Amino acid sequence: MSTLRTISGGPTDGTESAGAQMLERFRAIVGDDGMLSREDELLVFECDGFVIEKKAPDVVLFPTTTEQVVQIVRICNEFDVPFVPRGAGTSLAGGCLPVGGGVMITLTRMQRILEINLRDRYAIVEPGLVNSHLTRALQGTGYHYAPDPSSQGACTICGNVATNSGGPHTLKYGVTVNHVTGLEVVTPEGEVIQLGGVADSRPELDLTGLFVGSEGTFGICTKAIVRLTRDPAAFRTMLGVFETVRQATEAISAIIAAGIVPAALEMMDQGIVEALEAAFQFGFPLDAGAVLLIEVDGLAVGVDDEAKKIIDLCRESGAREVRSANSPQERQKLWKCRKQAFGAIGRLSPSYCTQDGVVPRTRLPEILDFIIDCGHRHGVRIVNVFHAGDGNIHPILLFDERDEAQTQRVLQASHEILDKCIELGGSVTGEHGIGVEKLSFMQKLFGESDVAVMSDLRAALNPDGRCSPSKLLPTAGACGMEEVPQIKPGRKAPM
Amino acid sequence: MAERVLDHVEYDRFLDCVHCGLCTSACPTYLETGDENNSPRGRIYLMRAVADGKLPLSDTVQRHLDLCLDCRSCETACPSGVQYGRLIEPFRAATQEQASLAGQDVTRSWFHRGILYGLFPYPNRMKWALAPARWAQRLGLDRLAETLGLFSLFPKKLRRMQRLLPPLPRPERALPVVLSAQGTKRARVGLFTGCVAEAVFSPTNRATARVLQANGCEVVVPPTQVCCGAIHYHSGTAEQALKFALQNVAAFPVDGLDAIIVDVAGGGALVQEYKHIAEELCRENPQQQTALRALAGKMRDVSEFLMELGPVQPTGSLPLKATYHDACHLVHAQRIREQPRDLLELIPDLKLVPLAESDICCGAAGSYNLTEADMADRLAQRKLDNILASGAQVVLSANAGCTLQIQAAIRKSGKPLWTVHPIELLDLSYRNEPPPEFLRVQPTTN
Amino acid sequence: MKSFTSDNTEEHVPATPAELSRLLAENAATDRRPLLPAGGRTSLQFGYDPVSGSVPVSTTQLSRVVDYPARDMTITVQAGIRIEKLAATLAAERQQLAVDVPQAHRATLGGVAACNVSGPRRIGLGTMRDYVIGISAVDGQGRLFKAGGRVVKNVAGYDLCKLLVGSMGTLAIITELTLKLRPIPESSALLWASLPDIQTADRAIERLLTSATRPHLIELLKSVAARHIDSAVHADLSCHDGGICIGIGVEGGPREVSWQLATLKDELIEFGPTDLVEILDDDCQPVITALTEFSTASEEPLTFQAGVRPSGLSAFWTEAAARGISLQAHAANGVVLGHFPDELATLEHAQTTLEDLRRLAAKWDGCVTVLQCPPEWKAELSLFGPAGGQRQWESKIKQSFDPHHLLNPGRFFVEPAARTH
Repeated sequence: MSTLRTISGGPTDGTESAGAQMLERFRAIVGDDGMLSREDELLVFECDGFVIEKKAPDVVLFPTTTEQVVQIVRICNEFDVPFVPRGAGTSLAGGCLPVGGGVMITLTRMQRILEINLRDRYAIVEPGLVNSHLTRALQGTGYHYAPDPSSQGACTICGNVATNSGGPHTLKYGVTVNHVTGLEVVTPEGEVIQLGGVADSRPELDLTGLFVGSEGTFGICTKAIVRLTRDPAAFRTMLGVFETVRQATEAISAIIAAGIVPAALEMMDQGIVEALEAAFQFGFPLDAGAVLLIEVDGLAVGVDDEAKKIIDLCRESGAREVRSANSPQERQKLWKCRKQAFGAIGRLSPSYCTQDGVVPRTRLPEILDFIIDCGHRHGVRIVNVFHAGDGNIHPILLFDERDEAQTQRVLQASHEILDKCIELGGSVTGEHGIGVEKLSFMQKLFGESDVAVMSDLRAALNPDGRCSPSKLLPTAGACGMEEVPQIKPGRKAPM
Repeated sequence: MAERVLDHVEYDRFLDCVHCGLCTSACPTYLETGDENNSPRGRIYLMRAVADGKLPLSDTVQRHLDLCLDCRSCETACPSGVQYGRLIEPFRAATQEQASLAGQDVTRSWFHRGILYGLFPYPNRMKWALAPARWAQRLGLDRLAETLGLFSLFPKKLRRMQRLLPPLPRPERALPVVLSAQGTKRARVGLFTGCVAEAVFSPTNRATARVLQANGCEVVVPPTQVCCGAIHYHSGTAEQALKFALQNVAAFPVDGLDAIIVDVAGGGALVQEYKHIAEELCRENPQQQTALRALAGKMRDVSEFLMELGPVQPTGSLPLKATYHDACHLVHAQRIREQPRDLLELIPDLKLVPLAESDICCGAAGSYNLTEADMADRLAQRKLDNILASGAQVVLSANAGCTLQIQAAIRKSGKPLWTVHPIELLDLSYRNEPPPEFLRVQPTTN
Repeated sequence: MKSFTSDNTEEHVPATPAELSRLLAENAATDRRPLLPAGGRTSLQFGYDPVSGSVPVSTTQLSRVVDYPARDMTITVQAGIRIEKLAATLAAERQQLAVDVPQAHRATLGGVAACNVSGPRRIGLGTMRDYVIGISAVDGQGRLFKAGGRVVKNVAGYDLCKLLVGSMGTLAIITELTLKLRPIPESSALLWASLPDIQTADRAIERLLTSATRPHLIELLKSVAARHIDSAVHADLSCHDGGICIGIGVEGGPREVSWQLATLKDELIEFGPTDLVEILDDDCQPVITALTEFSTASEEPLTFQAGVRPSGLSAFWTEAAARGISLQAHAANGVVLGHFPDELATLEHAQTTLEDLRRLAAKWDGCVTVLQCPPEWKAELSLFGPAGGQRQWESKIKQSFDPHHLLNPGRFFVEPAARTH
């Protein structure tokens, strides 16, 4: 399939000239400055935030306009080579991995904010815009862009669109798909189409909703219309301290069941607290089994009532104490601890891997018990920090990758945890995406006909399978490419 | 090459990077190019590939590493605590060593020998070297020469230096060795005056001394102090850096001082790095190590020190709209972000407005704007755009290099903005002096 | 499962999803009869007429609550359940599906999802797409499939929930849905006022965008429409002729609600409101219901729904009002509902008026959809307006789900029947 591969792999029966010819065509579109094809410059594109499987593309292009993307895609079709879009490369599931090589279309030079319209509450942005840059541009307007993945300082809007990114505050405000109303897309065939739009109530299919989270398999997003959200008037941030993980998870269930929708509800267990305390000296209690970071927001007149209800529920569930952040600085520090929790793991162990499972929120106590037990059975230390309010768990399995036997046990344990998530009626990914990492779980999560319907849909919109091959769905589409077997867990920082 | 790198770089430091990519958009060169090769994560990947023998140290790889500004913005962004500086600095030392063995040492070029190493570190040589420029400026000859294109006869790097030059102050007499405290004596501090800074920004050092005095500090200015060695350390000639460091150890009576005050961010960061130099270059000499650490331990940025001490409230009104630029070596290397802003908030009637990307490098980065002209210009333009968007009349910059760079960009734009060290503004307020004439109009509302 | 309705026409009423699946598979393999998916039959008048010989497929037997873990704030339920029944089930746990549905006693959940029904509270609470987290359906070939799941956060596989919500039964017949629920608020309130004209109302709405309060409903009514609703609920929403009625809704804890009401009155004062009416707690629901039913009032010759950018609302409203159209708007979203007056009760008038409105809406990136009109007009009238930019993909998707074009063929925007427009 990949004609280009022969450029680096050595000439075979005249294909080199086809490859060289194609490179020249690309050069004519993006110029020397917009293209990388030397082996020593392609290397860094061989993986994203997921580092287990690696494959360098044959060429990396940096288009600056939709029209350039169109031309590139058409040439890829003409020469029959696969292509994959890439934003900041922060995917934790290998979403940007150029399986089969080919052309990587990097969108980081399309990063303008084209329009901010406060009256109609939307912004139109280019795909390579960094998530937090939009928020920065909105500072002082009273509005913000709600999805706030922990990687928001680096990840791009198009990447968020591709994976339907979440974040701590999506518990109340919804994930990316709830905040995107329209897209400009370059189709796998190289046509430009407009999905959705600015105005409400359009007589059409919700293709914007379908495209968000399709992990690049339906084309390349070149523009996004995103909804802007009013800033909350007030916050209350609390820290609930519990003797056991069980008590903490029960408090989570109680809060959700009481019909309270906190802006964020995050859990950290003892292992994480220990690491965070070493890193930031916040004053977390080291002997507590778990802590909950809870934030409510809304009207100044209402947040105290809501905070009080939460404090009462925590106490009823056995909380040893519930602290409140007394100043914006303290709140900021609490959030910094949470958002940087994964970085602090390095203090506990030389390697770690994490999972992104989801369970119904009432099953949190069960899954946490299972995780603890699973750790004991496999002799693996597991610590937990996660979006508790969504039921989105991120167990972190600690190990030393130089110990091969331990490494295998970690892989086994993390698979068991995901299987358990499915058994409890949950999912294997809440926000990182299937990518290439969890392809093997799709058939466990979905039945044959579910996968068949999805595959047909992909075949309808991406008929030759050249666009982002071997992502999201276990079948390889028309490309006939094998999925990459997972041989060891990754050492990576989940968001 | 791989072995040579491993001689210098502690390999485990590579493993601290979990490849999450959160650093990418903190990196000025990545923001400008969007190329992973020009991002911290990409550079670490490249260096590690060289160390692993997976890639040769090609010119292309070298280019991407050279383009790094050493701004350390990535260290602030990194959740895993990767010490990027401690990867790229020793890596550079390794490549330098390799190059000099191969007889192509860049540090032997006329620019490095004559200007970077021969002139910058020595304030007196700098003053003399700058004298013709100052006279030319005063007589308006520089404009004339520019118009006539005379400067184009200079080598390219000298031409850039000429353009960077701000209106030069009259040479001032050296500061006295001891300046007494005003009011009750609250502390005894040393003042580190720097090299380029003392020549080009001597008023800043004087303002710092006065502000310290106004805050009850006795200020000691050892005449035997020398250049901090930053330029050498960062461009891979570590031995000279160590030599300067040891001279400074001798110059400052560390035990008798509560702190050693630095008002040049880059230099301040370097003194912190004396600890690293101690670790890396004085492995066999514990005595030198201890002395360097002691010196580093006393070093404080002037704003950091004043906020710790508890500043005396200044009283002079300065009705200006100002914005604060975070110098990389202050905000990233020393994590000093709030203190200068807190100090400025004390000035009556000063309105501090936020600056977008305030902590993204302006492109000065030590000698970077001379060696990587193109990227330096792009970053200067980016900084200028953000400054203009802020609507401020005054840009506050606590680092000499940044000030030169930002001033040059502003001059080119023809906008009537004033770039000044925060301490000078504070000094005006303590002395109840008005702002310069050209700013005494109502700030435009924005 | 095959049954006959009162007028002796054929109808399928499968009792299980598996039965529905077999039915559709068989149909696709053999007769290939066009099918008319039907729930509560509240929206059958919408869209072009069914192809002759279409056989209704009713989902009303699929009405089981599959799983209701109330403490999870989710429910999994079969698609044929009536909205009223669902609401009662949820209310027992003080929970709700926060979507306003007309004719709730008849409408089924599956129909509501397929037609993406929504009402006045959409600004604060969102629409069906925000609540459906899992879906099962049978496509035109009889494949029973699912997507999403039962957890509130999930990115595994394609989000077919979004695709099927609003797909008007043209891709698949929905059999089961998992919904995210919201608590019923402790307290709620509506503030009604009369404003002199649409321009003033527009400025008031702009002011509300930066209000210290967070309204979940901002409704505009032309006086005629207000009287209409007035009489429906016997509330005293007096609204003088030529004026505009504005309704603002807030909800939350009792303290939040009373504080917001007071604040709103302050914020509105500069716009010269008259006839201020406050409606509290239990009295709110009948008014919201009346507002929701407005779109279905069917005596008028033609009812449309337009969506424009909110900043274009005033211009659109002015033009429509000048033509004597009775108007209601979910103002913060830019959604306008209108009933044509009797003067426009000829096809020719309707056509030109619709064209004018569409031209105007287009200026504000909007469109106009005909919700109902006399059946005999449908041969001539464009119900959905010009095709949007995504029609090419819609056809491909239709082909993928329903390759023999058996589900609602020709009725909707996905593949509108050939018309003369």
